[in-house]
Amino acid sequence: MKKMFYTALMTLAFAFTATAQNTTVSGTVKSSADGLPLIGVNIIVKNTSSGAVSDFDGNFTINNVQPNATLVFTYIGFETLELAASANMNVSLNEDNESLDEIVVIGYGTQKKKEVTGAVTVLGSKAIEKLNPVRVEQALQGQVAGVNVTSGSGSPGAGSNIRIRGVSTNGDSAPLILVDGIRVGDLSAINPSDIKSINVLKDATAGIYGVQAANGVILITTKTGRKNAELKFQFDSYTGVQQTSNKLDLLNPTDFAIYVNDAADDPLNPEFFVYPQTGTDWQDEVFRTAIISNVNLSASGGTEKSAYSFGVSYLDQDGIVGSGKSNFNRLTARLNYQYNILDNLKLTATALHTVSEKNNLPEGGIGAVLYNAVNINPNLATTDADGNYSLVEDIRQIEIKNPLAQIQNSYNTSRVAKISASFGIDYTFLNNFTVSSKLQMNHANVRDDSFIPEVDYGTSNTTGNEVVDHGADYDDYIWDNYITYENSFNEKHNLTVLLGTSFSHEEGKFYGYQGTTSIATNNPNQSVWDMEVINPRFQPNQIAVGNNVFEKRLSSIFTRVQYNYEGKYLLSAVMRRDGSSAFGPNNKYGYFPSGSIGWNVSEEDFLNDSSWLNNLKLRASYGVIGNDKIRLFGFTSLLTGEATYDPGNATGIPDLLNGVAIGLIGNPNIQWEEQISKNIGFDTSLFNNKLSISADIYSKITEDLLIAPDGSGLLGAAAPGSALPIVNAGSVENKGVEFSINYNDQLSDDFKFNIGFNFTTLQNEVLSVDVGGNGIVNGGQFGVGTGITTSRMQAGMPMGYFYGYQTNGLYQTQAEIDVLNANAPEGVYHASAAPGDLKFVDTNGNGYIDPEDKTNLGDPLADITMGFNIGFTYKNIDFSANAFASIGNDMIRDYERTDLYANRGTYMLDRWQGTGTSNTVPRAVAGASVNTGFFSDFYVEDASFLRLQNVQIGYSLNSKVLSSLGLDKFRIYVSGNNLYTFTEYLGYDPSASNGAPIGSGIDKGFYPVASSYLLGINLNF
Amino acid sequence: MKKIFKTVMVFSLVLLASCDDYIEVEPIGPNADNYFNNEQEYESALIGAYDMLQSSFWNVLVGVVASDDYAAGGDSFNFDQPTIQNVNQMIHTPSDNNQLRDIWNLMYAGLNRANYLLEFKDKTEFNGKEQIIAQAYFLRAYFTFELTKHFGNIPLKVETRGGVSRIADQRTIIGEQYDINRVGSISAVYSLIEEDLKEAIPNLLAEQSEVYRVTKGAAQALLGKVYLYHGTFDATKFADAATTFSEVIGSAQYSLKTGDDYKNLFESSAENGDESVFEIQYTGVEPAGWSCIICSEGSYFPKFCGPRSPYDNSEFVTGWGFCLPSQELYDLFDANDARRDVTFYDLRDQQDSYSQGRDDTGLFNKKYIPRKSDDRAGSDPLNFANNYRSIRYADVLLMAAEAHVQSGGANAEDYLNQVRFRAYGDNSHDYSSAEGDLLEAIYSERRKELAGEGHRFFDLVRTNKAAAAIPGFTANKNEVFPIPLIELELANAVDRWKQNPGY
Repeated sequence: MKKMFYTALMTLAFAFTATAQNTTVSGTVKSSADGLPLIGVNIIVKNTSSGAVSDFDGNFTINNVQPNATLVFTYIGFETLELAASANMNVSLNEDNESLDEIVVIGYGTQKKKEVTGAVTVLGSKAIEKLNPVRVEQALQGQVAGVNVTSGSGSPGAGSNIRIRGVSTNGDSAPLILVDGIRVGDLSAINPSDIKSINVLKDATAGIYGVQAANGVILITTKTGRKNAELKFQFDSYTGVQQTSNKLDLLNPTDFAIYVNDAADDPLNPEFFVYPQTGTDWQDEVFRTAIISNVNLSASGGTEKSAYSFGVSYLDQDGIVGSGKSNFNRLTARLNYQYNILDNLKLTATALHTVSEKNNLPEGGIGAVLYNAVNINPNLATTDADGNYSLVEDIRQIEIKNPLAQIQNSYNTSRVAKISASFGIDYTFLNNFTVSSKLQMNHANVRDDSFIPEVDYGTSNTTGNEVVDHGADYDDYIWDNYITYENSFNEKHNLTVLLGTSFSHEEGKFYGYQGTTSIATNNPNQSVWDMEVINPRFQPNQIAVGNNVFEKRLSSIFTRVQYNYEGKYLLSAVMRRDGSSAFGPNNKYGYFPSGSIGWNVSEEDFLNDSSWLNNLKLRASYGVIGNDKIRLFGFTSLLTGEATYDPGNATGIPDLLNGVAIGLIGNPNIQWEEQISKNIGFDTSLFNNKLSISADIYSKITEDLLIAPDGSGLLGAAAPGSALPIVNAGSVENKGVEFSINYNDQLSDDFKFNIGFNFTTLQNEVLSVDVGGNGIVNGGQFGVGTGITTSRMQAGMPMGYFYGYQTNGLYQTQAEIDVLNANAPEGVYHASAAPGDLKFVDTNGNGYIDPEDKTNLGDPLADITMGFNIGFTYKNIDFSANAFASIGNDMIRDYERTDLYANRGTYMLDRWQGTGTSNTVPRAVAGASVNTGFFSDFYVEDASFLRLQNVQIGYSLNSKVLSSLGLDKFRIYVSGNNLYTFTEYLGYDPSASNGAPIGSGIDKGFYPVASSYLLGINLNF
Repeated sequence: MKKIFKTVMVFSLVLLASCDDYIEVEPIGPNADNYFNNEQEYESALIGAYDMLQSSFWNVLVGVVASDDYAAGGDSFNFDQPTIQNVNQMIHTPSDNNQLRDIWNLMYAGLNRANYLLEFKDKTEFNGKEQIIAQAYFLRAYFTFELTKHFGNIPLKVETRGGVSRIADQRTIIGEQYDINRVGSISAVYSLIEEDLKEAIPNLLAEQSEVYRVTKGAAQALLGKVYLYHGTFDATKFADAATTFSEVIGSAQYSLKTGDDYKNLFESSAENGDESVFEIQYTGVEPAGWSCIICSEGSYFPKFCGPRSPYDNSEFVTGWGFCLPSQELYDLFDANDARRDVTFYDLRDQQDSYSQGRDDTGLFNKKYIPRKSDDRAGSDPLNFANNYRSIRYADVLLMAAEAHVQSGGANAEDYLNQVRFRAYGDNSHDYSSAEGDLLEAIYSERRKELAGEGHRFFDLVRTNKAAAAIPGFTANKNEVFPIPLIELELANAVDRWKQNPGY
C-alpha cells in the first residue's frame, strides 16, 4: 500500500519534471538524532502537488521548482519541517516523540500509540538526551507521570528505588524491568545513551507479564541500526564537576560551646571557660568538588539484509564525599545485530558487557562518614600538631570518629562484571503468521572486597586487621516462544492474536572468605589468605542446607487478542497462566486475566473534520496481576536454622559443633500477591497536535500481601536463623489521578518551543492486616540502640506511617507539670519531664503518658508529585529545563546523636532557655530527657520539595558548516543537574529514601545527591 | 492452514505439559519432617538445642540488674537499654519488649528445639540413643526452669505419660498458641521440670568425653535447685533437694578451686574445671554482627559489663558500663576475703580513666568482664568467649546447706564452712551460732559467693526477702516479670492467660 503510494508520487514527480522549466532542487534528508539518512521521506513543494520521496541514501531531487518555493518534509515518527527551497539542501528532521504513529512496546509485540488502550508512557531517546542522566532512572523522574524515583544515597553508582503508582506491597515494590527482553535488577549496568526508548506499563496493560506485573513493568529498548544505511558514528562525551547539593546548618564553634555549657548546666565548673572563635567546619572538610566524565562511541549502519549497531562507553565518577574513595566507573560494550536470512526469516542478536567498580565509604547511618561529619565536635582541629588526623578522645562523643581519618582508612570495593546476550528468530509465514523465539541470558559476577585496618580513632578504635573477600555469581535466562497472527478483514476489522510461552530461570551462588589478624600490618593490598584466622563465608553446615545458593523458575503461557474496528473501537484481552517454583504446593499456578477497551472518538464522522481536535481517545482497563517476590521454599520447613555450639575444648582450636535446627517455618499455602488494577483515562491532541493532554484515574488494590508477621514466642521462631511462616494476610490500596499536558509550537522558522507539566496524586491505604495479635507490623528504628520502632503497617493507615508521640509545645514552668501530675492516676503525668521539655499529648486521655498515647505522625509517601519541562530551540541554540516536585512526604530527622559533645543544628539556637523563650525547640540537656528518649513529632518534618533537576543549553552547527566539515551533527552543551532544591526540610536530601515499605523516610544522614555542572559534546559523522 | 493450526496446538500442549515439571525445584538439604534417620541426625538436632543455651546471656543480665546489688548503668545521655533500666528500678511493665521479650522468646525457642528432637525420639533406633534423649530432657528442663523463674506459671503443652503429667514431647506448631493454657501453678511447672530431670539422670554419664555435654552431676544439681525453688511452695521438696545435692557432693567429682586457681576461676583458662558443674560454652571464633547477636557463638553479656570507652587497659576491653556493683555490696566483703578481688574490678580511684556512665560507682563486675585475652573474630567485639558458670560447686554446697537446714539435715554447717574456707583460706570464719541464724548466714554467703552471676534476685524472691531488699520491689507483683503484652496479644491470650498479678 505504502509502496504503491510512493511509486505514484515518484511517477507524479517525474511527470512534473517532464513538463516544467523551473530550477532543480536536490539534497539529503537525515535524522537529527543520529545523522542517519532517512529513506522514503515525503517532500512536497508547498501549495503544489509536486514533490519527491527520498531514496536509500536520503537523497532527493525535485525538478521544476519555482523560485521562493517552500518545501514540506513529512516522515512518520518525525516532526514536519518546512524549509525554503534551495539548490543543495542538507535537511535534518527531528524525531517526534508525541507522534501518534509512534510505536509502543507492550510486551511480546508492539502497537501503534493510537491503538494503545492502557496507561503506557513512552520516553524516547531525545528526551533522555535532554536530561543527560548518569543513570537511567534519573530520566524517569518528573518525565513520566506516576513514576517516583528515590535513592538511598547520592553516592556514585548507588541504586535507586523506582515506584510506579505508589507502594503496592509491604514486600518488594520494584517494577519488572526488561532491557531488550532481558530481566535487569540493577540499572547501573546500562549506559543511558544506548537507549532508544523506555516504555512504562502502569496499569493492567502490564498483565501480559502476569504474576510479575503488579509493581508495573518498564520495557527498555536499546538502539538498533537501520537497514540500507551507511556506517555512521556517534560520539558523545561530557565532563564536569559535582558538588554537594546541600550542607546542613550546624552550630559554629562558639555557639556550640555556649550550647554545651548550657546543656552541662554546671555554671561553677563549665565545660568551656572561654568560648572558642574558630574551629573546623567538618562538612567543608568532608565535601569535595568531584570530577565526572563520560565518553560514548557508537556506530551503526546496515546493508540490504542486515542492520547493526555497536558501541562502547566509559563513565568515571568521583564522589562528593571522599572523591576517589567513593569512585564509580563503568565500562560498557554492546552489539545489536539484525539479519534477514530470507524476506520472512529474521535473526536478531544483542550482547552487552559491563564492568563496573564502586568504592564504598560507610554511609547512611550510625558510623557513616557524613553522620560523623555532622555530629563531630566543631572545636576539634582536623589534624594534631604532628599532622596526623586528630583523635576524638572526649568520652562524651562516643562512637564518633574523625570523618577524614575514616575516609583515609576505608578500603571497600565492589566490582560487577556482567554479560547479557540475546538471540531471537522471527519467521513469518502465510502472510499473517509470525512465529518468534527469543532467548535472553545474563551472567553476572559480583565481588566485594574490603579491608579494615587497625586504627586509633580515639574512642572508637578498631583492633587487628580484617579482610573480607566475598563473591557471587548470578545466572538467569528467559526463553520466550510465541506466535502472532495479524489480519484485517474487509479493511475494517483488524485482529491480532498472540499465543506464547515463557520459561524463566534464575540462580545464584555466594562464596568467599573473611579473615582477621591480630598483627596490624595495615597493608590494604594483603589478601584474605594473609590473615591468621580465616573463615569461609558459609560453613559446611550452611552449604549443606543450601544457604549459599538460590534457584527460581517461572513457567508461563499467555495469550492476547487485540481487535479494532476501523481504528475506532479498540479491544484488548490478555490471559496469562504462571507457575513458579516459589509458590506453595497448594497454589502452584495462577491465572491472570486483564482487558482494556478504547474509543478513538476523533475518528468518528462527527469529529473527523474538526479543525481543532486532532485526536481524542477514551480508554479503560481492568486486570488481575500478581507480585511473585516470595521467599524461596517458603512453603516448606527446612533445617536452615543456626545450630552451632562451642564444644568447649581447651585446645584453643576453633572447632565448632554444627548441628541442625528448623529455619523458616513453612506455609504450604503460600502464594503470590494479587492486584486488581483499574484505570480510566483519555489522550487528546489539539490545535494541529500542538497541545496534547493525557489523564488517568487509577486504583490498585493488592490483596494477599505476603507478611512475615510477628508471632507468639511459643512457636520458637525467635531462634537464630528461624522465622515465622510468611502468610498471605493483608491488602493495600493505591489510588489517584495522573495528568500530563504538553504544548509545542513553532513561532518562526528559527524558534520552536515546548512546555510540559504533569502531576500524579497518590493515596495509599492499608485495607487489612490479618496477622493475629494487634494486627500491626512494625518497622524502622529510631536513634541508637533504643529499640524504638518508628513505622507501622496497620489497617486504615498509609503503608509505613510514622507512629509516635504527639507534642504540643514545651513545658514552660514546673507549675504546669505539677498540675498535670496532680491529675494523673499515680501522680506522674510523664516521668522525668522538666520545664523546657516537649509536652507530650495524652491522646487516650487516661491522665498520663503511656505507650498507648502514640499516634499517627505522618507518612513518608508523597501526596502529589509533579514534573515540569520546558525547552526551546532558537536558530542553533537549544535549551531545556525540568523540575520535579514532591509534596506531602514526611521525613524523620534521625541523624543527630544525643551525646553532649555531638554537634547540633542551628535550630538549637532557638532552644528553650527559660520560661517563654521558646515553645518549639526543647532545652539543652546533657543527660537523658524525654526529648531524646522517645520518638515524637519533634523529629518529623515535612520533606516536600521542588528540585530543579536539569538545565541544558546547547549549540549546534548548521548543516552547511557541517557538510563542509564532513560531519552530520556537531553540538556542544553545558548542563547542570540538581541545581537547586527548594525545601523546608533540615536534613541533606528530602528526596532520599531507603525504599523500605515499612521504615522508609528515616534520615540517618542520607548522602545528598550531587549538583553537577557538565560540558559536553555530541558529534555524528 | 489447518496443518499449521494443528502443529501449533500440539506444540502448545507439549509446552504446557513440560512447564509443570520445569518449575519443580527441590530444596537443598533435609526437610524438617523428613529427618532423624540415623544417629548423626539425632546428634545434629541435639546441637541445635544446645545452641539455644548461648542466648541465655540476656537472662543473666536481667537477673543481675534486677537484684539489689547491681545498678543498670549504661550511657548517661539517653535511656540506654530502657528495659534494663526499668528492671533495675522495678518499674518494668508489660510494654517492656526488649530483653524481657527476648528471654521469653529465646527460652521458648530452646524448649521447641529440644521438643523437636523428642517428638521424633522413637523414629530410628541405634545404640546410645538414650543418652541423646536424656540430654534433650535436661535441656528442656533448663529452658523451662528459666522461663518459670522469670514468668511464673508459663503456658505449656502438657500430656500424661506413664500416669504422670509431663511436658508434651512435641513442638508447638502454628495455631496451637491459640489453645495452649498456663500450667495451673508455679509449683506444677516445677513438678514438670523435675520429671524431665528424673528421666534424664539415669541415662546421663557421670563424665562426658566432650566437655560441653551435660553430665549426670549437672542434671542432679539442676534437679536439686528446682526442688529448692519448689520448696518455697511445698516445704516437703527441701528434703528431696537435700537428697539430690548429697548425690552430687557424694560423687566426689567436684571440688572448690583455691588460691590462684580460684583467682582465675572466671578466666577462660579455667573453664570447665573441677568446680564447674554446668557451664554454657561460648567462643569468640565466629564474628558477631549487630544484625543477629544471638547468631554468634560468643556471649554478649561481658560487653555490657566493661568500663565505657575510652578505656585503655592491658587486661580488659572497653564495654558499655552496665551491671555496676554497689558500694554496699563491696563493703560486705572483708579485705582478706579472696572473693573480693574476683568479684570487683575496682576503678574507684581512676574514675577519669574511662567514660562514667549512669549510676557509676567505679566498680565493675569482674566475673564477667570483656577480657583482652579472649580472642574474638570480627570487628564488632560482641562475641566474648567467657563461659557462663551456670552451676558452680560452691553454689551446690550452699544450696545443699540451705536444703539441709530447711529439711533438718545435719551437714549445713559443713557445706557452708567449705565455701568460707575457700574464701578466707582458713577456718577462722567457720560458722558459729554467735553469728545468728544459720539459714540467714547461708543466704548472706550466697549473696557474696555468687555476686554478679545472676542468682541473687531469684534467691531473694524464693526466700521472700525481695520486697525488703530491693528498692521499688512490690510484693505479690515483682516476684515474676510481666509477660510482654505483645505476647499475650499474639497468642490471643489477654484473657486466657491473663497478665501476671499486679502488672
